[in-house]
Amino acid sequence: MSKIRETPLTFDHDLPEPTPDVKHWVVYTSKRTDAPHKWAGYVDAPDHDLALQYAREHYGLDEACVGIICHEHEDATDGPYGLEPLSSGTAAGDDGEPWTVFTLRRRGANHETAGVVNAPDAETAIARATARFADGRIHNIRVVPASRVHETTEDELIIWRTHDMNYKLAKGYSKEVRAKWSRFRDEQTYEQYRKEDIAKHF
Amino acid sequence: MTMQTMLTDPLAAIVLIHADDLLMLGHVQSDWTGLAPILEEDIAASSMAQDDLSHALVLYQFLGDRFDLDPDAIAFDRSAEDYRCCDLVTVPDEFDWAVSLCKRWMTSLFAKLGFDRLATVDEGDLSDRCARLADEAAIHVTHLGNWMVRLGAGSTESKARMQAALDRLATEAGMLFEPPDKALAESDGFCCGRNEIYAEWLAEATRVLEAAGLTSAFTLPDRSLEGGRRGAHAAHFTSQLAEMTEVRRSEPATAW
Repeated sequence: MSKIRETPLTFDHDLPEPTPDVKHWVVYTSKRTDAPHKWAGYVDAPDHDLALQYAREHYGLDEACVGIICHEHEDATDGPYGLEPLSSGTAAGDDGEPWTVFTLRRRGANHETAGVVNAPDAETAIARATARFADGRIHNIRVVPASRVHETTEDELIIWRTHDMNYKLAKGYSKEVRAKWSRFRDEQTYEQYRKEDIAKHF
Repeated sequence: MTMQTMLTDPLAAIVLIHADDLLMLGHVQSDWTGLAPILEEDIAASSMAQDDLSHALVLYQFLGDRFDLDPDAIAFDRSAEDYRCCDLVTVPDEFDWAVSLCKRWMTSLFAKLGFDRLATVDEGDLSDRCARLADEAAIHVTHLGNWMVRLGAGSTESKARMQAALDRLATEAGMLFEPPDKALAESDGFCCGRNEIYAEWLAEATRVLEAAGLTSAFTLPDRSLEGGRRGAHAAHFTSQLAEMTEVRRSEPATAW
């Protein structure tokens, strides 16, 4: 911490209780304009605007992506998880509200967007999504009311930074450190140090 | 060329006001890492502080190329009176989130408008650099503006603290628009139109403040009033500069 600003934090009263209206949001990112959005992680935020902003800071920096969507965790309804892929269902119908469908294409993989079905409730949405998307490789289906799924707008598409921010990541640090060690080893001083070190210890 | 050549160049003066603002803002804001009100904002605010430093670097690199100088030397080796940042960016916030938020919001909005204008300047790759910086500054403006509205329209306490912060910073905010040197101060064309950029800044600031239920008393100071941009820095700036450059000055020729 800055020495200049190293002031003891004092409070006139007890710390306030944690903010009660922070919600848990599920975040998905898309790497290309025509690619599905894949599960990226979670953020806690009071509303979807800030959730998308936080998602952009947290997940948009790791890898370049062209879009982010999020929904509240409690808005998601997951169908059954099976050891084997789901069997295709027979549920038909197209009444009701639109639901965004996420599929799990491999056990241990991440959910990704698959499409939209109309249904009056979550249970029916899962049944109809199963009939439509379970192609013998899907292990789970998740549905979220489409109106509860929020997306970055076109003018927010600059999600990642152009300047090199690898230094923020472990992989970037190791790359930097390796480069420095390589430079150091290439120098004559290292060779001299190595000889002296061997002579001293052996 | 020498540092002095750069310091007397009109375009460099304009570039430096943004570079120095962001360098000091990023440096000061990094103190908040681990202390922001909620975890997500802590990560985001720290990331944005890094952005500020990175944006400053982009501009120092442009100046380094143009004047054949080391960008690190431009950032760290000048005398205090040669830094063009306004003193708003180093105003101590005593870890009051409202003060930190308000000054970052004001500065980011100014930076966004400045980058928009520099993106139209036909001088090397400055326009490319600033077009990109303008987009990224817009992300900061949106993010910070969202928090201005939420805290202004939040609880009684949050609104009171935000209003107190605005009242405290209103005068300093006007000095964002101080011309960076005497010649430019007497030029109507300063910064692609000082009155115009202020009017644009004030319109956007007022829009956000109205949404937040907050009020402001911003004014555009007379251009003869000298502040940080012309080297008349407050003591809190020189303290922060001394701290920021302490390691660099301890071993000037060391490669890190």
